[in-house]
Amino acid sequence: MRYKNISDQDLTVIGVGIVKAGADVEVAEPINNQNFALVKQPAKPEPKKEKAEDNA
Amino acid sequence: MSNYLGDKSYLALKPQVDAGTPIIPTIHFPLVGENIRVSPNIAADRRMKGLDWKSDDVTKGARSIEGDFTVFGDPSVLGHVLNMIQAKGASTGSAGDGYTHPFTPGEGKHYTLEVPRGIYAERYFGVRGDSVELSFDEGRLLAKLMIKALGVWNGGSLAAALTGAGMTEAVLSTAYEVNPNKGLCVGDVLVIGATEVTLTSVDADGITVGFASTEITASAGDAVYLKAQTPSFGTQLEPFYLPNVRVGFGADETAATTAAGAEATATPLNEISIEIKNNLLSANQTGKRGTGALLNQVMEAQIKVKRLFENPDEWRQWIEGLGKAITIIASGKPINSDFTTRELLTLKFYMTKKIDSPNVLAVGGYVMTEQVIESLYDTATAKSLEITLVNRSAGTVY
Repeated sequence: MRYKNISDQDLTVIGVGIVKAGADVEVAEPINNQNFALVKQPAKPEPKKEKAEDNA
Repeated sequence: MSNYLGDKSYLALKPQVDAGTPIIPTIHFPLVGENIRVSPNIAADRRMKGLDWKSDDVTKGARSIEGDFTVFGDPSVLGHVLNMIQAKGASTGSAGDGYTHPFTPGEGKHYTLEVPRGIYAERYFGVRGDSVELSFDEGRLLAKLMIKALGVWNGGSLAAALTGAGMTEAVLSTAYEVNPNKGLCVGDVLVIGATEVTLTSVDADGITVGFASTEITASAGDAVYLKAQTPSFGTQLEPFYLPNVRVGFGADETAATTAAGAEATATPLNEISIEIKNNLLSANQTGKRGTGALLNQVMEAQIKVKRLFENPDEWRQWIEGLGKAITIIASGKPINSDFTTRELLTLKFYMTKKIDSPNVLAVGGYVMTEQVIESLYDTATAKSLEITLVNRSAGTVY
């Protein structure tokens, strides 16, 4: 999941590192901190079904 | 079963907009120590009812929430410590040169504090500073703030079962708290049973909290707790150090401040500590489990110093009750890139007199003068104490 540092200062998050103000960070565990907002990522497009090859 | 290290704790804080409205604390600081306690005043029920044993039950009394926390006295956290205990005036300055924050005796702001204990957080709201002790440990400034709080949210339980899919609210038990949702905020992460929910509402009925539709199965009486935050720390600043402190004594504030302005005119001291007290009154009120208001009473301050004995003049000044102004200036790191502005903590005591001034003897040691100095109201200037802090934090954070 991806979070954005929405505060106006660079913040050190234990286990993550320094996240610059306004920057995004990818983390494995949720960040429970109001200085960070979850970045909603666009749903991945469904893979297109390939046309059956016309062997005729 | 899991166990948790105290080292993983921290202090989160944020000033509230008013005394009664908690806020999620988003400013995190490392803690040196913490001893904030909630006392429900539970006592054995000692009514006479024919028992041959002390009691068969306990009763709850008026609750009190008080204690202390200790932090390094760095220019950032000191701003909040002082803001909890004194009235802050208008801040001036800029990011490049630093910001100047003046504090004078008066009403400090109410804060929300949070201290995690393992997986859950204890939240205190309506917190004000009762007294602050500034002292040096191995040359590092420590600030120990004694606090009192209007309320606490340290867990609760469900009043009604949650029965599976599509749950959007929980009703909290009033077994202990009159308004069990008081202290929670929209955006808090609550753990109900084993399920986490993020609050979307804290209802005015005092018992209900709302969240997005979630599948939860839990029984009435199951525990509910506030999930500890993921701490985030801004730039860690160094505390003020004793070697960078200059103390000036003088007939008035101007003379004391001039004396503190240079090493040649400042008075060398071996030890110094300062205690400033608000003497807060915890006023119990109807409709509240405990304190309904924290009110300033007359304020006071004492300074303790230890210095090498030089001559009997200090003793004479003590017994003759001679008054002096004292200015203490602690300087920190440069702020401006051209080194013209620094982190600065200035305390101006407009009038002081010595309460005690013994010249202490010890085998193998120099004669030391250990003084307890009372800060007084100066009738000439109508001032007692002024504190000024220069740091990198804009006044908007207070």
